[in-house]
Amino acid sequence: MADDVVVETRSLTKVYRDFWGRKKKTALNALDLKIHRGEIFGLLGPNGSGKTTTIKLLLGLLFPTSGDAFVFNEPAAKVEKNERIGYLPEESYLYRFLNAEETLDFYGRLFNIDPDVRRQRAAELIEMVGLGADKKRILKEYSKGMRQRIGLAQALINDPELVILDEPTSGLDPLGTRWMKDLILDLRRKGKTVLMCSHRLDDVQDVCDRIAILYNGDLQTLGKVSTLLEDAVRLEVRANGVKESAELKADLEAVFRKHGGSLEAVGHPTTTLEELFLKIVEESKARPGRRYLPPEEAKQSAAPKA
Amino acid sequence: MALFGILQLDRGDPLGYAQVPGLVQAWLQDAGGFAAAGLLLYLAYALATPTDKSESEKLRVRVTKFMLLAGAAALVLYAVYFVLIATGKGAVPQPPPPQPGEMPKPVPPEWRKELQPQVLALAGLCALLGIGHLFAIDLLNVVRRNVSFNLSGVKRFGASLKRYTGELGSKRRLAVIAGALAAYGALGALLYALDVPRFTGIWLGVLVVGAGVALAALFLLMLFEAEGPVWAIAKLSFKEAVRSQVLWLFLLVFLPVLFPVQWFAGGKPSDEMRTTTAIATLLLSVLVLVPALLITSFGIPNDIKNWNIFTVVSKPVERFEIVAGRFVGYLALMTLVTLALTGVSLVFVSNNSLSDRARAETYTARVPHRGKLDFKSIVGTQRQEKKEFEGTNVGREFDYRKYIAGAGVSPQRAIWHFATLPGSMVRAVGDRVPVEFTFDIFKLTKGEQNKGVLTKFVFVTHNVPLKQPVKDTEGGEWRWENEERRRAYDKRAAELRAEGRDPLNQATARPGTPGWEAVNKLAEEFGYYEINGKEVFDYQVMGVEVPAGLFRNAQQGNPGSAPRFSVYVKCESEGQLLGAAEPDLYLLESEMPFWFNFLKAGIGLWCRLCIVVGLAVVLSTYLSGILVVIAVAFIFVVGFFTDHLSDVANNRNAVGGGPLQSLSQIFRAEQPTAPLSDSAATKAIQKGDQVLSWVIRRFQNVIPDVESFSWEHFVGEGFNVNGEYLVLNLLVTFGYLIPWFVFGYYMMKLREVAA
Repeated sequence: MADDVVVETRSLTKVYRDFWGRKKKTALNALDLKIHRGEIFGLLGPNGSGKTTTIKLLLGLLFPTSGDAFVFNEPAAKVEKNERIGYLPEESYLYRFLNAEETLDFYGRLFNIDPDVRRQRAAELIEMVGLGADKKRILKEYSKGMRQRIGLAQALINDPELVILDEPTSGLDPLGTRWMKDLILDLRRKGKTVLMCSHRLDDVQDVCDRIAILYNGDLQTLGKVSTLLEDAVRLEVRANGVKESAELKADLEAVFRKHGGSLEAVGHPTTTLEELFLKIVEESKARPGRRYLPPEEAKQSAAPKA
Repeated sequence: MALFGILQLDRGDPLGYAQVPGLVQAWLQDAGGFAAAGLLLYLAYALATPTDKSESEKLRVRVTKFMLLAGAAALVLYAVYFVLIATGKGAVPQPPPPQPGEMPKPVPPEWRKELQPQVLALAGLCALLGIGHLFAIDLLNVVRRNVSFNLSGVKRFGASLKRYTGELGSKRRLAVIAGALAAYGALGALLYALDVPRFTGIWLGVLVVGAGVALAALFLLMLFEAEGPVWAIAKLSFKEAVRSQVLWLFLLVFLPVLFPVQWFAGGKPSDEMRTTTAIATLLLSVLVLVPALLITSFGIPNDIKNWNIFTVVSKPVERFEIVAGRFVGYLALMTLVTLALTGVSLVFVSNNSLSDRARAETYTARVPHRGKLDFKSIVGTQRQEKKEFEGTNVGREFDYRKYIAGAGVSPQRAIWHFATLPGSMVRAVGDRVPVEFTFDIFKLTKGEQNKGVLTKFVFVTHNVPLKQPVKDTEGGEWRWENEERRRAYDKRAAELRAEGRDPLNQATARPGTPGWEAVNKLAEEFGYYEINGKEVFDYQVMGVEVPAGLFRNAQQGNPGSAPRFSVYVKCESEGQLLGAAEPDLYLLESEMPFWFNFLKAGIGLWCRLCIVVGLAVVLSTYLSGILVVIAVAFIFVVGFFTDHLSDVANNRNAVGGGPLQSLSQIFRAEQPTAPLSDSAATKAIQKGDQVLSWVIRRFQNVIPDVESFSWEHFVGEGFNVNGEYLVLNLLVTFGYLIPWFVFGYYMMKLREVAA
């Protein structure tokens, strides 16, 4: 295994069996995978495709039926490798009778982190995930998004080299989703390796360097996001300050015909709903009291009063 | 008091240090058998798991050379054992089967030197070493990670304490605490002003218990601040239980204070303390063990069900650390609860409205020095039965006592022999040693109203051997073998009598009188003392005091195989029989405070708590919460009937045979005493019973002897709970739980927590 390979699976297979040993389902079939240091790797697939099973096998929560998995060159069954891993489960499965501080203290102690360091890191993480005001509330009182945030904080308590995120944006609002994606990108900037699985394709597309798509336990495709998404047949041209007109279309058609192609469409690009939402929220923050008015009311309120 | 004697005989004496080798051998045989089965299963599973292409699987189902070697050695030794059984060599001699109507006698465990038990124990040891190898390796790692002998834990505790007190120091919280303390203080002042000593005592006692428990809690929190995942998980378990609000349940301990003890106790003074202790112990046991079972059973299963365990197992935590952490956390919490409840119960028992007589009889902790009981009469060859006298059976079915007939010339004696004597008796305070007794009187004639039975006590040392009377015509007296010495004694006694210090007169020669000094000198010189005409009442704790000089005499010389000191008891009232069992008479070595004895008895409850918590944690590594509750409750409740189970397992029933034979007799409507037919069906049933008894013997090994941890009878009767018994309780608990924890280790190790 090369030095920069953080995660490697070799023909990793998992078959679920019933009490009598009869085969119920092949959750993962001979998966071969390598994840390199410093990359954000996405595991994609519909429900039941084997994403979470792969993660559980890497963490030693499940045992492989055949094949093997290595993390930091160590077999997945070795507990010591977990020193360098941070894990955020799909749902934030934390102890709901603890508050945020106690939660981070507990997980920090499982890593045997020095108490002073642990306390300082917990305080920083609580601020980072925006729960400073709620740190004394027990998790039972938290919303799903808040639990996801404290879940992420516990995953980072040991300053891990490999961060495994199972559906990290699950339960988060668009603001939270953007925050999570920024944070994942920030982790890469800090040299961490991130393995995330999600079925929210836009999230994966936004942050992942490479992806693997699983279907029914089989690896369907693997590669760089930019390469996989590239459409080699079509060409996109963007322009600024030009108005759409029939003349423009005709000119463009002539140019593309000259180069052996054809014009497919001319129009204004649309932004994403996420971008629009974030823009409106930012504006609302900047102008408190602003609210939406129907066009008629807006006209009336803008007209000078008699 | 009567029950005390019965219970002692029923179960035999509690286990002491002398039984440790026997217990160890039995443990090696029993636990070793399970270990061998476990090792065989594990090796079969490990060898069937393909590990050639998977490093992870090699780690998970690891097999060491040592395990294989130990397993092979065990296999060979078990083979040798079966060969020995088949050839009948090196077997343990079996005691004769009990006669119809005879109660099975408890046999204390002892190290057997015959070949069969030795080989079986050795095979068990090999199997235990084999199955325990991985466990020991991982346990050492866990200990290394979680136990450090430095001051870091104390420092961390100091920092945490500072932080907690800082948080507690808010004005609102301080006001609440101050308010609560002030209210409690005002309540105390009010009780004092109203002059109700019982309630004032309870108030003060609860305050002391509260302070003690608070200190213990601080100590535990300090322990939980130590480095390592086990302590983190222990602290988590502690918090989980506390925040589940279950602690409110323990307020039920205050329930008995509402009811006076006289509502429950019988007419006898000794019943008052016995009933009070029984109620307090029952309430304590229920309040401690039931919540402990419920809290513990659902810990790990809920972690798995709610998937909390994902976030723990994905950290650098060994699976066994989760089991150990849960055990330590729950046990710590419930230990605190036990301490608090035992303390509060003690406060109630101590401040109960006991009668003065009950308080004098039972509000203490006697340290008895017991002897061996022997019944004797004229020599066997001269008796009608042509055998030595063994005490008369008066036909009481459940009576363990034997009786001696009363008459002025009766040669029958109940004799207690003491092979050893405590050194403290030589220098007893006041030069006197109390001898206490409780006898049963069986009346053949009505006797005199409100008068007891006249009894003669003779105390002799090994320096004064007495002669067993040969014939009835000798007047029934047990004379000195050295008659010249007897004459010298009589002469000295006569001189004293002339001086007005008659050694036989209790009025002039009792402790505290000048005559007592002379009595002591006489006893020290001759090794003889007697009390005549002592009135004894039915089932009452009574006592006499004997000169310490006797014990100084007893310490002189080498008695050889003879007892150093003996007490001869004779019943002198015509037509009355005096019944005695071995524990009915003892030398009172010392008396301990009642409260200390009560607290010591709490160790028995704590051992039971360890068993419940340990079993629940171990079983919860595989079973769901509700199944754990049912399984532990079943094992624990069956543990109250180990004597019966043991009788069935060892075919000790004198009539009726084993379970299958009994069943067959019920269906055929046959009497249990009817002779069995010689048919093939009968033989098959008897063989079936043998197989069943083997199965029950194995089942018996997983059942703890719950009753052996109960000391309420000692406390209720006013007897000291010997430290030796408690050490054995702790040893047995440890020995019982170790195999269970090895089982839990493998269950957790081999379990897919996310499956």
